[in-house]
Amino acid sequence: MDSFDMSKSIMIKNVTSFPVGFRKISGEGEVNIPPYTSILISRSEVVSKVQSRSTLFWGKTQDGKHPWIYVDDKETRIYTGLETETEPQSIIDEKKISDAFGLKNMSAFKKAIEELAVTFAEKKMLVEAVSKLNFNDYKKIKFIEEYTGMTVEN
Amino acid sequence: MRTYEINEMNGCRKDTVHNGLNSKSPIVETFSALVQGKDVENIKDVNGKKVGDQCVKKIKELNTRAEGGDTSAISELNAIRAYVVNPILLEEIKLLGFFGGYENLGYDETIERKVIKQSINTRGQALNGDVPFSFNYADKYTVPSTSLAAGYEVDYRKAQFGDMSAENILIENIKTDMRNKASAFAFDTVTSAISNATIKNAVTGVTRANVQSVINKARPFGAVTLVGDTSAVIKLNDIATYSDLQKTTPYLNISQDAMNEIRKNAYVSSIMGAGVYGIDNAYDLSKTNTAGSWFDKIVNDEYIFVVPTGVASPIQLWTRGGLTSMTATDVSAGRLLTRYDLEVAADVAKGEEYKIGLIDTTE
Repeated sequence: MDSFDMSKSIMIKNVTSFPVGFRKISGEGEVNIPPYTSILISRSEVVSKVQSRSTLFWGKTQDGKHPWIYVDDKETRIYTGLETETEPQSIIDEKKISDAFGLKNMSAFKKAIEELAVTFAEKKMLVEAVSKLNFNDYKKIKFIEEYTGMTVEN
Repeated sequence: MRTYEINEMNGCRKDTVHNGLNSKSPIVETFSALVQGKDVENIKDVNGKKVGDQCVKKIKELNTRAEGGDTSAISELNAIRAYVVNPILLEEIKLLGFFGGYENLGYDETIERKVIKQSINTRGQALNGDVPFSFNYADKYTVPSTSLAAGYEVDYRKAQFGDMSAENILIENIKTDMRNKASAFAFDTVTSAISNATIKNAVTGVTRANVQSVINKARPFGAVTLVGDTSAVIKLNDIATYSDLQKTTPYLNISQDAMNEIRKNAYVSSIMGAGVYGIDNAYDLSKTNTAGSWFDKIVNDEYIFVVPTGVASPIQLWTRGGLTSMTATDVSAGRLLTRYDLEVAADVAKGEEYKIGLIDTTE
């Protein structure tokens, strides 16, 4: 990793519907990211934040599965251990949701959804994605409404 | 409106009913005095006759019969105990009303929420046209309730000889357990209602910009108080600072006043014009954190609630029907267990979640 440049700036994305902010460790001041928005900050700051096991980057379960902030840079993710070369960091996105809807087995679908959406933000995204991606499976949508406690609107 | 319905709380049998017994009965007073270790000599009945000793004898006798498995004696003891605990417990739960209303309902009443709403705003209109005008209307919906249970293994043998020390621990146990569970339930309901709302005033991370924006949004509803677990409000200390010359380092300086407050109370008493109030929160020793290295707290300790005062709070809490109890023998374990149940409900007025702000202090 000789070419790993700490002074480079990288994108981080707030994947929740809340404004998310944190205080810088390596620099001074604070970082504030509006909902569903990416911002550019220095790689060294991201690395120190992730390496200090910040819950915002690692999620409540500390396994990188349900984070508030997603590091949009493969090199940094691998460097800090958020993912490995073979196994990418698993966060909820539209592709994963449509994959789940592709499952024929209802209990497999339930399991997949329960693994994908844990936090409020993820549930919210799931519900929004259902109408955005035009799914029309009554039972599955009914289950999502039941599981998230939110209503799917068209 | 009164709706009559059967109490169906998790198969709980209301075995505390006993004829002729009420909260002012001398035996209840005696029991309470014994538990607190007070003198029973001056306890009088309605005629002014001293009956303390007689009541002690009766309580001992009831315990003897209970030890032998007499259900009517057990139910009478449960009734007495419920009369002792109930007022203290409801008093404690009432304290939860600090950020909303609290109401205690009878068994025959339904938990129902009425939210006053306003129709469209009044508009000007040319003569002879339809004039839309505003009016208030009420939206009603029922609120589902949950039953909280706290129980313990009873030792009638001890009380049979007048040793009430176990009783004291037990009553304390029901009281604390119920209160903690009720507050955890209320806070969880409020947090999830706010987080799920479409229009919400919620942020993650204690940064100057985040806290400022939440307070700014809540401020027009009234003077703002920040309420949360002490470990959450302590994080506000970091931003109780000012920048001197360089705007890039806002965390640099702290005033002597603020420093004194932090030294004495662990957190600043006010920030950005909002009062700060830390609430005590005990550990749930039966639950460890995700890493398994330490305990979880009873109430989620990550949130700070931004509560405007002087506004009709959208949060409402209810208890229904007071305490009910049930006693049974666990045959396989050979234990005599008594369970107390309390029906509670909490609600944030639908469509008014934005009035309460939420700061998630996750770092």
